[in-house]
This record gives sequence, C-alpha cells and structure tokens, in this order.
Amino acid sequence: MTPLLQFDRVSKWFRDTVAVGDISFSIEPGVTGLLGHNGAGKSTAIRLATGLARPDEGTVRVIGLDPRRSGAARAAIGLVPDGDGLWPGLSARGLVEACARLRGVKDAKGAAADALAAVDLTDVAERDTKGFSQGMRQRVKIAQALVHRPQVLILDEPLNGLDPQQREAVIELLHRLGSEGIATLFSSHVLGEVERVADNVLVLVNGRLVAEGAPHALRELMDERPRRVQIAADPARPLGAALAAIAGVEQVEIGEATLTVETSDPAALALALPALARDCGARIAAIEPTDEDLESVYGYLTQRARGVRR
Amino acid sequence: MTVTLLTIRALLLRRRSLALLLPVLSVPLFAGIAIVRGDVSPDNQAIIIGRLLVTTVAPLVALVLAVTAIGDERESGTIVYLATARISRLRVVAEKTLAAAACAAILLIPALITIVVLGDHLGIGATNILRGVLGTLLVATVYAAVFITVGLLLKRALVAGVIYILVWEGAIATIAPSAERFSMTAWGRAITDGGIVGLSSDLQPTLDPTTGVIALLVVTGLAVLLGAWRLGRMDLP
Repeated sequence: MTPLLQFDRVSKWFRDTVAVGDISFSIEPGVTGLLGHNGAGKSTAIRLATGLARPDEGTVRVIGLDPRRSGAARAAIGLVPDGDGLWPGLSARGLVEACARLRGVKDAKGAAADALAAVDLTDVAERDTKGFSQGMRQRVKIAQALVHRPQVLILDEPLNGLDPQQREAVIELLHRLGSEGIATLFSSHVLGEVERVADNVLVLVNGRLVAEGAPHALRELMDERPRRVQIAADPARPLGAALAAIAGVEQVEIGEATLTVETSDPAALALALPALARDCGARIAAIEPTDEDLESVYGYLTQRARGVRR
Repeated sequence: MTVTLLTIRALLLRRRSLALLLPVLSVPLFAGIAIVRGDVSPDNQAIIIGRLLVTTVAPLVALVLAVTAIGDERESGTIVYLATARISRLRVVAEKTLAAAACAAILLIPALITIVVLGDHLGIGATNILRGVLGTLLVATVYAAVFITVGLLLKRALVAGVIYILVWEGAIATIAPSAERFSMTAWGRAITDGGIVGLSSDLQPTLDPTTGVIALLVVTGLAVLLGAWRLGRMDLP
C-alpha cells in the first residue's frame, strides 16, 4: 500500500547550511509528532512535505505523487502553517469558504460550516478574524486545513502561543482527527506535548532524523541514558569517594563544594545518598539534575545516532 | 475567481492603495486648469493623457498594486494557502494580474472620467475617447502582469519599478524615437494619441495603434506565463 506521506533520502540546503539531511520516513493514519528544537529542520521538512519547497536530493511523495507537480497530491494535504497570517477583511466563515473553493470543494458553504463546527467556532463564524484571539485564529487555520477533508493533515507548531485551555482544546482535536483515520503530522519543540498526542514520534536534530518510534519506546530510550546530577555538599570529597562505589555510578567529578555524578541508575543514587552523607558527615545543601532539558536529550540521541555512545 | 476577489479585497483595504488616488487626481487637476484657462488643445490633451496619465500615473498605480498583490501574500504567509490549493500556478498569477488591473481601473476612475471630459471639450469624437480609456487600461494591465512577475523575481520590485518608470519610460523612451519600440507606455500612447488630429510632431506617436494593442497583449501574456513558471520553481516561506 502507498504511504500517505513518504520522504525518501531527502536533503535540503540553504547555501552551505544543511536544513534537512538525508531523511527518510513515512506516515500512516494516526498522529505523528515531529519533535525538534528551533532550527532543527521541522519547518523545512513541513515545507517539503507540502510542496512549498523543493528537495535538493531525494523524493517527497504524498499519496504516491509529487506535491510540487500534482494537484491531486496537494488536494490530499491540509496545512496549518506556523505564521499568523489570514486574509484581511473576512469573517471566519468567509475565509474557510474561500479555502474550500480554492480546493475545488463543490458545497463550499456546507464544508465550511462543518469545518468550523469541528473546531468549535460556529458561534463566532460571522465575526471578522481581525478581532480573534491567537487561539481562535489557530482554530480558523485548522478549519481551513480540514475543509476539503484531506487525507494528510500537517500542522507547524500548532500549540505555539496558546494558553493552557486553548492547548487542551487543540490537543483534544488532534486526538480526535487521528482517531478518525487522518494521517496527522504536527511539529513541536516540547517533548511533553508530542508525548501526549502522538502515536509515533520523529526526532529531528540539526536537520537529521535521529530517532523514530512510539513515544513509550522513545521515553525508554531516553530513560536508558546516563543522568548527571549536581550535589552541593560539605565536605564534598569523602562523599564523592563513597558515591563512586554505588551501583550505576559511572563518573564522579569532585569540586570544592560540589559533586557532579553521572549515573545510569538515578533511583539507586537517590536511595543511597542520605545514608552515605550521614556516614561521611557531609551536609547536603542542594541536589539538582543538570541534563533533564530537552536539549540534552537531543544531545544524547545525536551522540547515540552517531555511535559515540553504545 | 476566488483568488481575484480575495486579492481585490486585500488591495482595496490597504491605506497604501488609497494613497494612490493622490497621483491619479493630478490628471483631473491639470485638465481642470487647462479647461479653466481655455487652453485645451490636441497637444495639451496628449500631454495630460499620453504623457502624464499613460506614461506616469497609470504605470505607477499598477506597479504599486502589482507588487502589493504578491508581496503582501508572501509577507503575511497567506501565499501558502494559494500554493497548497488545487489550482495551477498559472491561474494564481493570471488572477493576481486581473485583480491588480481591476483595482488600478477602480482607482483610475477619476482619470478615466477626465479622458471623457477633456475629449468632449476638444471634440475628438467617441472613438478617440474610447481609445484613450482602452490604452490607459491596457497599460495598467501590462504593468500589473510585468510587476507581479518582477515581484516574484526580485525582492525590491517596487524600487526597480519606480526607477524603470522614471528613467526608461519617463525619460529615455519619450525623448529617443527609436526607444519607443521597446516602451510599454509608448505602445499605450500609440493607442491613446494615435487618432488625435493636429498633434505637433514631437507628440505624434511613431507606432500605429494596432501594433500598440498587440504588443501590450503579447507582453501581458508572456509576463503571466513567466510569473507562473517562476512561482512553480520558487520555494515559499
């Protein structure tokens, strides 16, 4: 069966910068998260998927067709762009209806009403979008992407700038669309968001696809990595020596009043630390993980992908 | 016609577009002065309509509208809604051209009325009045097509366009007779001024009106095709 969206060894450069380097993946019905920090190549990948940009190498196919050449391929895509731009002087209904007409929908009025209902904007459909909040504008953008009932829905950072309530509404909507069989690809730089919504996750680092799989598999992968914990202790040296003997501790750096411990078993470290501190007569002032941010997770995945670790 | 209607709406809602009425109103202003002074002659008609309106005002209005028609979409990001729609790039560029030309025609209404009033005052006949209106609208259309395409090729299309209008169309092509063959506004003047009797030799067009119409239509068509080709090749934000 032809994948709904397929990247085959796709690369894209901007002068001498690699925006996307040799990435291959395909997506099927359900929700796929495209995870990566700013500048990782997510938006470029989305522009390539929608035919807005041309790959320098490799091929992009939507329902088996080139989205830059095929109207049928473009008709299979619904895009929610990252930008906030909407045509001026139009109500939400007018804008979604215009998009329906541009995509050849026969009953543009009916389709626009359905799409606006799907994003809970029916009540404000006649209002000019100029006065809309960012959350409402985001929902208008989603409605225009859904109006022609696409097989592939692509959303570029759809949760950016939304308040918690609006985020919940969009997350719930993405869940619903995924369960209805639409192949949904959405980008985010927030691990927790992707984990909550996606059935499958693609991790991009510096334009390269460094991990792919179900969120739980990715989480396990991340759980396997050694963690770094900084401990403020006085005196530090005897406690550092004692910690080096605990199972899972791979490295201890001893500073004047701090210890930096790298361990593959943070739970064992947490359990052993109070007793060891008591035995050494050390007073612990602070314990802080130093590599819990997403950046370090990406760093680990990057190194792992390059074979530096394991 | 969705792209055309969306573009017309966006263009007419912009203050920059309404500011274009200022140069347009210079045409009735100069015509009014000529009528009040009793100085309406074939030469003055050719200067006000041929040189001021067709050579400067209509190109300027069409240039700004054309560059805005495509530039605003790129700037705001709404161009992605067109680029991902199930319509050809040729249709996008053709409808954008139509929209810019239609908006130019709307904004040029005071100048088009001036053609009628001045022509009636001079007694040049309905055919010549109609040729004045047609020539002006064709020049606006060719400029819309050319500068939508230039807007897809260059970042500073507006600056390039103003320089082109002032230097080539406004100076070189009006002074050097041989350059007229390559001037879009000279083709327009061949239509607007070609039928007026009693023009002095330096204002008499060297091209015939039919050549002017054909040249303007051919360049409009080629510009739309080139614009569609460019839009299909370029990466969008």
